[in-house]
Amino acid sequence: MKMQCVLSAMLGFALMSPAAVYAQPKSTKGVEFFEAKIRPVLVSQCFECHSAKSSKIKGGLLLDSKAGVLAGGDDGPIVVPGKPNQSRIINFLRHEGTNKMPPKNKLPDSVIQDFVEWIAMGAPDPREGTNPNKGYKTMTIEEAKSFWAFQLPKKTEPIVKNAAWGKTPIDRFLLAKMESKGLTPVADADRHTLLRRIHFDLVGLPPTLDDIDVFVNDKSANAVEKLIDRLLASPHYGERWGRHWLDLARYAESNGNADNVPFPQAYRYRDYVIEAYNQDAPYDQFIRQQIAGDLLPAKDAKEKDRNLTATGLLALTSKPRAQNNPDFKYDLIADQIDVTTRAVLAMSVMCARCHDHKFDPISTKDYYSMAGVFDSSIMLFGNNAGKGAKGAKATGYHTLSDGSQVMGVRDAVNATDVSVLIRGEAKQVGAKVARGFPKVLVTEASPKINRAKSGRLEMAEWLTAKENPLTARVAVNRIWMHLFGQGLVRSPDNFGSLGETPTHPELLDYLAIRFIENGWSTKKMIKEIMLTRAYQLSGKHDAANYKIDPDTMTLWRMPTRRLEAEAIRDAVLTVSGKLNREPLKGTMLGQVPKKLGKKGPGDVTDTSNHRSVYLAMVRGAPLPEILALFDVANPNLVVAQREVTTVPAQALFMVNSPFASAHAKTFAQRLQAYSSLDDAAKVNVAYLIALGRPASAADTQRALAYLREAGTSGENQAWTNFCQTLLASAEFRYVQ
Amino acid sequence: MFSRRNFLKTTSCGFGYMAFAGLSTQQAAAAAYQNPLAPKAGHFPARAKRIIFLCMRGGPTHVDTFDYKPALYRDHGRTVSVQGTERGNGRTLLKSPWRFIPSGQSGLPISELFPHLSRQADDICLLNSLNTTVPNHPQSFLQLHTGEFRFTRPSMGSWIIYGLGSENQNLPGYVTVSPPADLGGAQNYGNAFLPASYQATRIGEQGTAVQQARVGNLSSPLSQAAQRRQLDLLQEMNQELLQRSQVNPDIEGVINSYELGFRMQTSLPELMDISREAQRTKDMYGVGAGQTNDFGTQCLMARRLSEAGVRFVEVCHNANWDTHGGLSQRVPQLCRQIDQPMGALLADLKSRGLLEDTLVMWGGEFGRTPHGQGPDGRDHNAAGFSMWLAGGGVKGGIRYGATDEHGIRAVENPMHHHDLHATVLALMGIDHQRLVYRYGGRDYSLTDIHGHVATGVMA
Repeated sequence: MKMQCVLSAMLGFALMSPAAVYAQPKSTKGVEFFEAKIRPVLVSQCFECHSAKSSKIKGGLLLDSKAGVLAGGDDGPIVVPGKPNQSRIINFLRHEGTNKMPPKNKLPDSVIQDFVEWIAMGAPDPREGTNPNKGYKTMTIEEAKSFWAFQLPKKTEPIVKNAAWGKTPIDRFLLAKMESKGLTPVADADRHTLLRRIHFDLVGLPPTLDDIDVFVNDKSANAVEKLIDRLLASPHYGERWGRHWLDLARYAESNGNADNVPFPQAYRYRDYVIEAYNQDAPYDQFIRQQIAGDLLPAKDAKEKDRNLTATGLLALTSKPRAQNNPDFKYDLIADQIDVTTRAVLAMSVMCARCHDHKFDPISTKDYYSMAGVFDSSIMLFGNNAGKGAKGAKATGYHTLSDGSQVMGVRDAVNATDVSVLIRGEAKQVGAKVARGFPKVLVTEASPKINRAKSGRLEMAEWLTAKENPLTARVAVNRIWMHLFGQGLVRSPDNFGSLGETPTHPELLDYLAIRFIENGWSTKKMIKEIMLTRAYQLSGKHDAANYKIDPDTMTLWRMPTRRLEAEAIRDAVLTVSGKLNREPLKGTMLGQVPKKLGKKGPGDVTDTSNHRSVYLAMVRGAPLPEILALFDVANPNLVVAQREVTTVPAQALFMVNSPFASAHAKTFAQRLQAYSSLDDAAKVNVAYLIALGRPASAADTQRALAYLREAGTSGENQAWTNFCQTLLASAEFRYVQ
Repeated sequence: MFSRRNFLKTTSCGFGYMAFAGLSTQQAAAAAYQNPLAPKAGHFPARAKRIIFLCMRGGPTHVDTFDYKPALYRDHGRTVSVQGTERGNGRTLLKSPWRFIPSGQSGLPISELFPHLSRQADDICLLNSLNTTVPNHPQSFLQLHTGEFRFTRPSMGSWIIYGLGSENQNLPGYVTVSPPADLGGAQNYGNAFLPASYQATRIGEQGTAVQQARVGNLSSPLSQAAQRRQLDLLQEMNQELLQRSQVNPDIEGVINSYELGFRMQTSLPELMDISREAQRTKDMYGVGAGQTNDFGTQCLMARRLSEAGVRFVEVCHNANWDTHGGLSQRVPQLCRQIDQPMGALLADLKSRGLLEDTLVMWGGEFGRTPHGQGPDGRDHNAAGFSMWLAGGGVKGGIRYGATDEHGIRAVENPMHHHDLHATVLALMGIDHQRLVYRYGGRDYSLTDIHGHVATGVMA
């Protein structure tokens, strides 16, 4: 469906393609010349590599249509009609430069002269068809104006039949869609389910027995709102939501190449992110700090420190080895462009390093205009970082007001524009491009770069300008995704033409507008979404709805969601009573060695009971096993949405690992402290602690039967094994 | 009501029976979709169904093993000039201290250091024109395994099981035996942005004898009976949750994962336990005999895994081929460690009728310079080196491609790592340009924008 829309859009715009400029009346004489002298040569000498039917199209050049001839290849046009001297194809045919065509046999001079004449005649070519260039068409800047993601969000009012159902405008947007498809929302979630859902969503931890007691017995009308407010104010909120951002920031504490040099100060960036979420720093400011904190004004030393620490985002890159890599500098820039554009804009500009984006209106010029900004900036990897990586220099740090040091970025002494590299190759230098931003996202109001500076300040302003149609939409879509399991745009890192279109475009726009109106407050956005009736629905199955919308695109019920790796580990620790709720001061890298190599610091999960967000994230070395098994974000990659896999290795971990056994044992010991309770009551407590709900009659009966049978070979062991089944159960791993 | 006894009975009916019983077609399809390792058809008929990659880290010398260069003996001592990324300008050519012997019916020239392997010459397709981008270990090792050294990309094995699934649902689809922790470490067998189900299961690591290798969390701390009871309780809880949810492929996935995991606890250690093999077989692989014991065990384990349906098995020789010095001592030693086991592996696969659809691949990240480094060593050479393929629909008894007369550069049918990948995928029935995964807004493939299939190696 989506693909069809894209295709029809492509066909509709075919008339406006650049090739149309050259359209000329067909000259019979010219066409005869082409048919007699040129076409046979193209077919016999060129089509092997330059036709749509070629098994491998070389240089992005297609010569089997007029449009293809005029469009040229990856490195630009080859034919300028009427001007043989400016037509590079003649140089190729004459074997004058490095590009010799055909590569193996030079054509006779008389044939080359035919091409000269043909171009002098205006390159007459009767062949029909637009440039078939592998069957895709790039959206032009003109076309982009009507593409949903590039238009500013608009206010609309949803119209619903059942006005009584919804609690908030968001509900009405959702209900309108459901009604249009003949769907009816299911019943509200019960108290226990709702409490567990809100706890995991806001702080990534299960509710304690006290939490359950308070909430279930709170009969006041605003009980849910009080709960939300309390958890938003908890320091654990920043640990949960900060981690979502760290996925996008490809946060890690080492550079990941063969030497794997540690970043011993990286944790300060982690703490900055957690604090920013806890303080509810406005999202636009949060972005500006990370791109250009060193260039922003600060009202006091503390703010200056925060600004400098934030720029760690750009320096925390995964670094290839400099040795034998002529592209080293450009590899780093590619990473910085990728993290900036994908994390903030959900656009993949990085493709344009080697060629114009195949689908989105992003050109290599756009790419290298941004590259100039980063090339005019110096990354501060730290004094340690240079030592191991052969060829890469030590760079120093930013120094904070208390004398501590942080990774980050500063402007280079001389700001420079860079040249386009043809096909991304450092040796193939093309034209210089002025520093700037992708044209499709530039308006009259966009900031103009001060040529004497890097341009990062202007980049930060441009990214967070109200006129930027993407930034707020991308942010609210991700907030939505973390609360419902899927975004309204189900490709949270690609809002381009190959991404998904929004399931509820008006709602997405409403949220984006609200977000900006509320001062880019993430907490307010979360609260507004959580207070909807939709968020508080049960996850119950409904056969009629399921038939129409099996993927729950309309949110007629709350989708079941797998907990993230961190939440699973933190929940196990909470249940066993071992969780250390204090934030970690510093890093788990400990006595930081000069090189971490591929073994890394070992599995710190065995020795630490801190929350998972504080565990050492070392690139290229094994991550803590439980996190790796449950799809933690790969710290080499910008991750907007994690994978959810279900594999036997997870099952084996939950039943056989020393970690699972040890925590099952302490969980069982916790239960034994309730010595006044009988076994059935203990089972009930176990269910409340592990699953946040009381045990049903069937649960109790089953557990007691097990304990009787298994207990014959040791009562404590039987309780431990029973506790382990709760940790290993599907219910433990999922939120409803 | 689902009872524990009932569960015990149904699990014996094999994978999926329990999960799929009683589901509608649509639900069953949804559930099947949940198993990312279900076998899938390739793009065209496969010549090889499974692959065993014998990985030699460090850059094995090609002019002393599989690339016979008469001119190197003739021009011994002459000074060579090389350029670009090739190393060792101004050094003198160093002839191989060993002879090459025409082997098999085909007369394939193989170094005298491989008396066992050379008996299988007629099944071996020497690839004499390999080349790659960078003559540095970590980069090239990563490129050999993932096609890329600058960015994190899925490994070849991950791509293959992503494309084809697994033949045996009691076992992982992709196993790597004794991989090095350095040279890119886990990235070499990682799934990168592909779902985690496509990563390799690691058995042991470099530097540890394979006999001591264990797979994590495979053995239960409980007695078998106690674990069975615990698992029954667990699955009853999961089943009850599934019944409450009515339709929930996620929960079904968890139930399946416990079933599979439970079976893997028995099936994988059984396969790793080569003591079950006949003494005659163990002797053939050189198991228990000094120098060949370790690699022989690895090869025998590889055959057992492969035979049981593991799609991709990589075995990394527990040694280092990086012979900058001590060539005349070290190369014969390295060859002795692998020769008999490799010869046995090919013969064993053949006698079991497995060689015709099992692709065996041998090689390392690059080769070594034909010119000496010091009097008795060779430097890294990425411009030209050798690997070999056997079985799995390749033409035996031939040399594919060639280096120049001394073995410095690949000149005839040059085969980059990317081309090797394209060719291996093609042998497995996969079009390397069509096996793609969308990540971060674009389609990725193992060969990215590179790669040509070397049809000349196909039988």
